[in-house]
Amino acid sequence: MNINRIDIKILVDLYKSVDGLFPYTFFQRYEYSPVTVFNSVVKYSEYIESVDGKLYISEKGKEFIEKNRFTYNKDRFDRIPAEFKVPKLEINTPYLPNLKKVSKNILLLQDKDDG
Amino acid sequence: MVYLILRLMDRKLFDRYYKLLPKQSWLVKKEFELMKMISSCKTSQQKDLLFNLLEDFQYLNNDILNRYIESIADYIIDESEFDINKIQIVGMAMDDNPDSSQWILQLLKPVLTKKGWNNVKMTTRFDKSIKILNKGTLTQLVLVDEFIGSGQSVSGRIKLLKERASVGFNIKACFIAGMQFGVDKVIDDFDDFRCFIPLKKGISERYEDDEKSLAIANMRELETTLLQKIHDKELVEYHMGYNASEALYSSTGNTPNSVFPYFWWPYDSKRNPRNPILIRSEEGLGL
Repeated sequence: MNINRIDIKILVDLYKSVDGLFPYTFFQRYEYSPVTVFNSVVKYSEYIESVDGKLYISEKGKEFIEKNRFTYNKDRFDRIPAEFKVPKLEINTPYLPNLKKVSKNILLLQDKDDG
Repeated sequence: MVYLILRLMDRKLFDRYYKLLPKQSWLVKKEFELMKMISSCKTSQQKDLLFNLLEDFQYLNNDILNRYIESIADYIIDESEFDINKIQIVGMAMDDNPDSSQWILQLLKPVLTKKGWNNVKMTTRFDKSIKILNKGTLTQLVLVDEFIGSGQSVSGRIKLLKERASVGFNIKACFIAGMQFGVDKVIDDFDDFRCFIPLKKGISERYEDDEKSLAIANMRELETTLLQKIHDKELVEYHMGYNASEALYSSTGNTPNSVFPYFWWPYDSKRNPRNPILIRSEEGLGL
């Protein structure tokens, strides 16, 4: 059973919601059809509970989301696990960039003395 | 097309689809066909009618069908009180065209063998079984099929049997599903008649008074969007299902003609293929 992009969206949205979500909400947000939402709910019935027509994440589901680090907010850099992060640099702190990874555009600009 | 249908979906409609799916999970694989059918309705009353009928639908997937095959075997071995040396398990076919009873008999074979009945006589063609009966040994018949509609075909077989039988016989029947009114029509012709899933007429025996006439009017209205004649097959013959049986039943096999044709009729009034939620194969029903 492979998890797909849609499953993750539904699970993460439910994880983030305080008071559960109606299936229709996924149509409003992403235009997921009734069958699309239903399939994910059935596939992950261990992690999603249906009560009175509303969907909630289960305790097992919360654990699953946290363990797999599916939650992130603004951009993909928010997904970097804590153990790979170094202490944040203060503004204007000098550091040595890895030249191989610096974009060529920046290097070229510096050649022209306007960088 | 799907995108357009989705754009037009409001909360009420979404919820109706969503609530239908747990009861009718076979529709998960028919999403496009289902949405196309519902969105082609002209009024919300018509949509409501189709949703209500689909909610009452009996659909047998292969797992459930196999359990009923087991039940047929149990009926024959344990309940029919027929003798393995005198019994003939008989299908409904009268010609070379494959039919549902032959399908059921073929599925039944290994199940009977598993249960210890491996030398039992099976005859797929009903007319042939009468010839075998008349030899005088295999005089206990069990008629087996998937579905009985109005009982017209079964009556026809019994009539033939009575005309042609030259020796005494017993006949019992075991059907997976069927219309109760059809069973009632033929039950007296059998020593025993077993139908595991008896069904009421989908509209006439479910609704009353105004609701009933409204539902029938809506169904009639829906049927006007279908091609009225396919070669010499007239839709009017199938109005509300063949012999007005109003069946809400299918399996993974061929959909019975007793089912409301709106769910399976192959062409719309403009002669375009409809891609319906159910498939019926019938000789002559193709352009």
